[in-house]
Amino acid sequence: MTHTLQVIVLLAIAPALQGVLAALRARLSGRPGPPVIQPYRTLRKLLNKEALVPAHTSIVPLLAPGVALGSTVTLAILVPPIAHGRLSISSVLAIAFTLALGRFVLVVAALDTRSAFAGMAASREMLFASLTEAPLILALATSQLGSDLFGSLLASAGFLIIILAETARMPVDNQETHYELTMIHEGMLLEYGGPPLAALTYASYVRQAALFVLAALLLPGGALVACGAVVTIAVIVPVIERSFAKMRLFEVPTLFVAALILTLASIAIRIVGVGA
Amino acid sequence: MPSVISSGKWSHVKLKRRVVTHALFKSLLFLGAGSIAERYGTTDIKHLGGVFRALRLSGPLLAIGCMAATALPPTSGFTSEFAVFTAFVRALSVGPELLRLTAAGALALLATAAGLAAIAYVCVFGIGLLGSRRGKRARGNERGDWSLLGIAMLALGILIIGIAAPLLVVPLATITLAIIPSAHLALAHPPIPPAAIAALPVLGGLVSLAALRHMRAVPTWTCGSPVSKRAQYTATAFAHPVALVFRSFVHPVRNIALRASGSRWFPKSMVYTERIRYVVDEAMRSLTAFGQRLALRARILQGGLLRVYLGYAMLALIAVLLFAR
Repeated sequence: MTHTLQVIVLLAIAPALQGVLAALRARLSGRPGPPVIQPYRTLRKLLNKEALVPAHTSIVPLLAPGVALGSTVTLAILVPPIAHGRLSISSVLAIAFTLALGRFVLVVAALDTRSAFAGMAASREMLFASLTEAPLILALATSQLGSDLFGSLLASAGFLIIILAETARMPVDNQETHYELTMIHEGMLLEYGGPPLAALTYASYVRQAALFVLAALLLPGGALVACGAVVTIAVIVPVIERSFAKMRLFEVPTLFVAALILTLASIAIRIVGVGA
Repeated sequence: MPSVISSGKWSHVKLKRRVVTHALFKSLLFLGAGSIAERYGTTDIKHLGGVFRALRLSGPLLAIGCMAATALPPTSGFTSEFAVFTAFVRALSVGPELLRLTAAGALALLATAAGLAAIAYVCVFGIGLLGSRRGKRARGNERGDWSLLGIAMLALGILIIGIAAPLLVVPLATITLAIIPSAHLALAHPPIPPAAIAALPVLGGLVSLAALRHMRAVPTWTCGSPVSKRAQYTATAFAHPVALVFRSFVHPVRNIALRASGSRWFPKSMVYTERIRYVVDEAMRSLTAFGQRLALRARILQGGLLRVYLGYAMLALIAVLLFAR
C-alpha cells in the first residue's frame, strides 16, 4: 500500500523536481528562473500539439516513446519503499537492466531516423552507458552489504556521478542548450515532437526522480534520512552544475573511473571492515 | 557453509541456461547473417542498412537476436545474464573476504564487458539493420520459404525461455542432479520471472505504435538539411569514440587522404581509413611466439641419439646418488 502510494507520488512530483532543480540553477546564476511548475506546462504544451513521426523509418521510432515511458515507470516501481528501503538483489539488477532497455530503444530509434546528429548522440550515449554500467551496478550492490556510514557516503557519491550522466547534467552534458553538437541525451530526441516528445520528456523526469531516491536509499537510516538525502541531492546537483564547465567528451570517462573507484572503495571498506 | 554449496549447484543450472541461451541467439544471428548475405551479397555493416524494413520476416527476428545478445528483457539473454549478475552480487556478501573482493572486481569487469557488448549489438541493429541502405541495390526479394522456419523457431525459443525462465529450470536441474547426484535442489526456488520488468515497456511500445501508426509522417528534420543516405552515421563513426577511449588497447590509427582540386577546402574526393590494432592479441601472440622459440631450443635436449639419453640417465643417477646420500 505504501509502495503504491510512493510510486504515485514519485510519478506525480517528478516534473516538479525538475522544476525545482531548474529554479535553483537559475538562482545560482543570478537569474529569476522559470517557476517550479514550468515542466508541467511544458508537458501540457507538448500534449496539445500534433504528433509527427519521421518518414522513411521502420516501426522502431514509433515504439520508442512507449517503451521508454514503460521502462521508466517500471523503474519507479522498482524503487523500494522509502520507509524500509533496502534494495533486494533482484531489484538491484532489474533497475540496471530496465535502464538499459529504455536506453537501447532510444538509441536504435535515433539511429533509424538517419539524422547525423541523432547518430552522434547515440554513439556518445552508448559510450557513456558502457562506462557507467559498472559503477551503477556496484553502487546499487552496496545495498547488500552491512550499513557503514563512510562506505555508504562513498557509494552515494559514486552514484551521484552516475546521476549526472544519466540525467544529462553539467560536467557530462548540458540540459539547457539545444545546440546539436554538444547534445547527448537531447540529441536523440530531436526528431520527436508533440505527445511522443512529452512521453520521452516525462520519462526522463521520472528517471531522474527515481535515481535521486535510489541514491538516498544507499545511505543507512530510515525514511526521514532518505527524504533529507533527496533534498540534499536536489541542492547539490544544481551547485555542481554551476561549479563546473562541461568537460571535454574524452575527459568524461575519467569521471566515470572516479565513480568506479568510489564504489569499489565503498565495497572494499565494508568487506574488510576498516570503517567499522 | 550449506548456503554457498547449494547456490553453487544453482549456478550449475544457471550456467547451463546461459549455454542454451548463447546457443539459441548465436545460431539465430548466424542464420540471419546468412539471409542478409544471400540478399545483399555482403555482411559488411558499411554497406548495409534498411535490412529491418526490407526483410520483413527475418529483419524483426534478427532484432530479437540482437536484443538477446544485449541481454535485454524479455529475451533469454536477459534472464541468463540476470542470473549471472545475481550470483556475483550475492557473492559480495558471502564467503571469505578475498573471494568477496574478487567478486566486486569481477562484477565491475562483467558490467563493463556487458556495456561494450551492448555498443556492438546496438551498432549491428541500429546501423546494420535500421536506417537506409548504404551500398548498392539489393538483389531479389526475401525468400519467404521454409528456410525462415529455423530462424523463427530460434527466436521463439529465445522469447519463451526469456519470459518463462522457470520452465527451463526443472529440465536443467534434472541434468545437474544426474551429474552431481548429491545435489539437493529445491525446485520451487525461482520466484517471479525477472522478465516481468519488460511487461510495461512492451505494453507501452504497443500502445505508442498503435497511436502513432497513422500520424502524419514528415521527413527527418536534422536542422532543416535534407538527409541523404550517405550522411547517415556509419559503424566506423559510431565506434570511433569507443576506440579513442580504449586507445591503449586498440591503438586506433586514422588516415584521411584528400584529393585536392585547386583549393584545399573543396577537395575532389576523400578517403578515410581507420585501423585498429588488437594490442592484447598482439601481446599474447608474441608471448606464444616466445614460447615456441623456447620450445624449439628445448628440442636440442631431445637429440634422438642413444648415447645422449644414456648420458642423461647417468647424470640423473649421479644426481640421485649425490642428493639421496
